[in-house]
Amino acid sequence: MKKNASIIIISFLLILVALLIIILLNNNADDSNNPKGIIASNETVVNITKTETTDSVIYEVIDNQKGLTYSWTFEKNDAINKSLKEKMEIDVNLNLNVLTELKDSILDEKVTNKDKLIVSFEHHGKLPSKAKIKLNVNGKYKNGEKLFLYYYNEEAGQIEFVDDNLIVKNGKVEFEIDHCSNYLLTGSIVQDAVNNPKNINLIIIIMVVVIIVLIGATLFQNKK
Amino acid sequence: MKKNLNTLIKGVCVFLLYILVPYVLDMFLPSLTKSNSFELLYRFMFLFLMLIIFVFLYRKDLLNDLKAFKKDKKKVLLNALMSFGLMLIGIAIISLIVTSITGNTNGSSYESSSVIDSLFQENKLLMIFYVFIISLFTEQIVFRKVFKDIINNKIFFVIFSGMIYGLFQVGYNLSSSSDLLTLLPYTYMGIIVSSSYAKTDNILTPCFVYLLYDLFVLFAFTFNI
Repeated sequence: MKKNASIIIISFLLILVALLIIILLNNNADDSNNPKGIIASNETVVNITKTETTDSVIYEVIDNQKGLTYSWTFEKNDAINKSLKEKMEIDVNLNLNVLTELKDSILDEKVTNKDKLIVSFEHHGKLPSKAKIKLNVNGKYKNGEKLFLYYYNEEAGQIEFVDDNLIVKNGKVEFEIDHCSNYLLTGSIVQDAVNNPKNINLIIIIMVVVIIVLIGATLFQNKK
Repeated sequence: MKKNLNTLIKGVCVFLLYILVPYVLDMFLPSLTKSNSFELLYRFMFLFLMLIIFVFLYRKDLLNDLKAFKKDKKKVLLNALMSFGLMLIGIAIISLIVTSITGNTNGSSYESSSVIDSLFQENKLLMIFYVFIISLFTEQIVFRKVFKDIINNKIFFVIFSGMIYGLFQVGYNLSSSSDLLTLLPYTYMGIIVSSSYAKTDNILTPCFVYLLYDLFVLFAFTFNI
């Protein structure tokens, strides 16, 4: 009876101490999630150069104030051709911000990857056609580094996997989007994101190891 | 000899089914239906069916464990409570160490996975059913029952099943060597739960440990601890 009571008391003490540590850890997390800095501000002095080919239209943007260079490559379709014919331009705000943190969002809570970059487009919503964004990430990521791209779905409050095959070339990374919002670039997987790619190779290796060990254990016991 | 071989074949089949079913569902369900709700429902139905198959395969042992539990409830419940306490304090300490090494301040929220989060948004009832019934019993059968039936050495069983459990929890999302640190809490959890099973020789003990843990996570999630 005494033994049982002491087991129950010890268990509850352990749970209590664990709770205190977890609360302490989470308080530290809240403190560190306060926005610290933004790479670029919203005020812009932007130079845009347009180049048109038969199947695409390219806008190269140099944002001197933010120190950003990037390009948009739109595939030509009926909507793009109409917009170019009527307005001489594409009806899309081409400005974007590159941030390290996004104020008042769950993004900073969910993504603790230190190397993350948030690509925040000033245009919100669907694009008239698919667009390739080429962004200068020199100084943030090394050439040859593999990056993951995530989309921050504000409505659902979740981070969604988009692509994991972005390679930094000449200090630039290129990715394709069909709608504008907040995107996230990082060198490693975001554990809390949805639709993450599954690392099938490791699972196959574990599966084979488990089967071999189980067969080995059976053979060993039979020999005994 | 024949009994051992049957146990091995049964165990390997259960293990393979556990790995392959989610993959097959991932491949075919999106083409079957465009509705997220229906996809989620189909997924639950198939996973529940898988659990029923597992329970059917081990029905005799499960019934014996249930009888043993009815005879000596204290042994199972006290062991589960103690293991839960050890599990929680261990995870908290590991989180503290991982946080101090990596500076990753989200170290304590390992179990708040994206799957659970997204299910919460889709359907809370299905989420509760999935976490407290399907996932709980399926994992205990696959990672404890199957391994313990085949591996007679208690220490080897505890360490091996703990490690494999940890690898399966994070293996799908491993992308860099720093992610390996997330293995530690899961492996520790696996070892504690397997040792509780090895001590009592009753599959209901690890089930109770996980039930307490899931209730704790739900409590922490609800009250934002």
